[in-house]
Amino acid sequence: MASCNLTASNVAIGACVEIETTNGLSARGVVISFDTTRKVLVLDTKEMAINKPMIRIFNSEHLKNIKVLSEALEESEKFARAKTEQFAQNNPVNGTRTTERLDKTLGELTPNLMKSPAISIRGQQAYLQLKRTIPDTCWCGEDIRVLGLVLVHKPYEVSDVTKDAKATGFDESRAESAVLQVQKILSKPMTEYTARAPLDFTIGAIVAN
Amino acid sequence: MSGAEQQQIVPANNGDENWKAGLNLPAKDRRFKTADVTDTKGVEFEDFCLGRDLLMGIFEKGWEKPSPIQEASIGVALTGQDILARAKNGTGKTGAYCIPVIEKIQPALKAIQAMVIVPTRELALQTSQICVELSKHIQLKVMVTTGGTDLRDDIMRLNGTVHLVIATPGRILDLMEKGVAKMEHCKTLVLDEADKLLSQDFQGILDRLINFLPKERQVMLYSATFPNTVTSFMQKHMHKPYEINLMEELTLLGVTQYYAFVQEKQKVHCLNTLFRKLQINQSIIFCNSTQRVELLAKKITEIGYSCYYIHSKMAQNHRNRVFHDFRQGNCRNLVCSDLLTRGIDIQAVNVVINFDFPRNAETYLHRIGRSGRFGHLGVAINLITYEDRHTLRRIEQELRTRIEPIPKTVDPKLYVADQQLVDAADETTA
Repeated sequence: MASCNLTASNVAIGACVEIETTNGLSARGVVISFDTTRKVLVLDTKEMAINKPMIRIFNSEHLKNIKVLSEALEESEKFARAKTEQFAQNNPVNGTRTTERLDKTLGELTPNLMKSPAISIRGQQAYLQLKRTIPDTCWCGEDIRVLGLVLVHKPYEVSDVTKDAKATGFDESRAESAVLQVQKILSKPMTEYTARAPLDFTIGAIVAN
Repeated sequence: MSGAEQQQIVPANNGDENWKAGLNLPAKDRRFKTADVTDTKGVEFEDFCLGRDLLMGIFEKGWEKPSPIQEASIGVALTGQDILARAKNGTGKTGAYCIPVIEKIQPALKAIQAMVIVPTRELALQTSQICVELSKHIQLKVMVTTGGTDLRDDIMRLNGTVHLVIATPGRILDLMEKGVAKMEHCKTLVLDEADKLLSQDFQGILDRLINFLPKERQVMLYSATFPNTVTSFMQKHMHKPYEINLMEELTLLGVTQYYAFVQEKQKVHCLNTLFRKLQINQSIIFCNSTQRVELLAKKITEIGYSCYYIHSKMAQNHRNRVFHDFRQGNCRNLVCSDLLTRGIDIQAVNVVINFDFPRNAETYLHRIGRSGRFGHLGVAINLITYEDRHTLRRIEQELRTRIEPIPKTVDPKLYVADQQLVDAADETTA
């Protein structure tokens, strides 16, 4: 993967730049932050959002081209640094807040962790198929649990879907509806799912009024 | 043999993509859309395993990709779970419930199978139109029943086949109590603008209404605001509802909010100035009473601008005609009471003016949500008198939003459609 060489001299904070990613997408904005060590470029793509500020964070390794449209001016540099300071204030790097964020992230990711190393590829595919449209999907040992009502057992085919009658608050009617939908999802060939490659390799986007 | 075993599992679409080539797609909407409707994980409508006929209806309606609330809600709704969903105004809540409702209806079963309850007659008409358009390739009978219309007509229609009912609470309850609307097979209930439906305005009608439905039913609640009154209904009538909250931020990203300090006697003059300076495609102007609606409409006409007006005390046939004609773009300005605060979706409205400032944050939130529909841009302008100044600040704080003094010139990029068009590459990035 070819990428352009970014240095501090051509990516000054406050400069207005136009970039193109290796995926062929372009963006234009004011440089808010550039970290050569972490390879992160942050742009305020104000023009793109038609006067609505949208901060976009790029992995600089995935940038194909960068063109400086205007050099950094004192005013724009001041604006950029103010944005960075505001972001830092809103996301303090202290023990308590970091722990909170880490706990929140782990809490969101933990249900997605496979409980067994013996899960087949088909099982992993089935999990992703279900998780895609039913967020309340998690691993339960080697089974996939959906909405707390349905279990998908090995080998994770349509015929392996059952109601989880032992679940707390089990409801027969709702479980039956859920089984039908889960079976419908699993019956869809994986080839019908279009690959969802990141369009512009953006690490994140922050919309701010 | 259980119901699940009786029903044959048919893979969605059978892998044939040629059907898309024959779609009668509308012109692509090239206006910029905010993250309110684009910030998704990339799920496509096909991923929900919807029937082809419904997918055709969705795409031919011009809906290209699910919005965040649709992405989060449709899959769960299709599993039959109760849902409590909160999302910003104009971000696709109607689609979030209409799609699974239509998908689950069996056209061969000639009985009411789903019911959508909304708080106003205008919203019922609008919602039914969406359902009709989505189900155009399905043999689905959609019926609207609201107050202010001839009951005999409704009775006659219900004697025929009806699959889906869109109704206001009072009328449908009346039809149920008369035994005309039979609900034995109605296993899906949607309350749109649920907090309004469960408020004192409807005095417990929903509790009575739901008793006519089978015990085995799915209940879905949608709104932008959910006060504590909803909790009681949830505990009584919903089974472990799946909760979706997409309102970490309350106001729409695309709506820029301004205020102008004026004296009461200067308001009409200020409105005249706004008419002259703004590039209004269509505007909705809110007043706090029906009397003021009519007075203002008369004043606007006197200063030489066209306008319609609508409020709840008007005859229903007049309301329907005004609503229809304004939606068709026959008039640029509409003066109204809070009758149109909830749910009304007119994409052409790019300016909302609070001629009278609302008294609470909830009303304010819903009013300004009449512009900036589905992630587009718009402006909301508030005429503030000395007596309104504290209310303004309180609402600003409650909604955690910014209402700025109106500048001499409002940047057209903030609200004019022609200024919002994006190129294909830019659109992908956005």
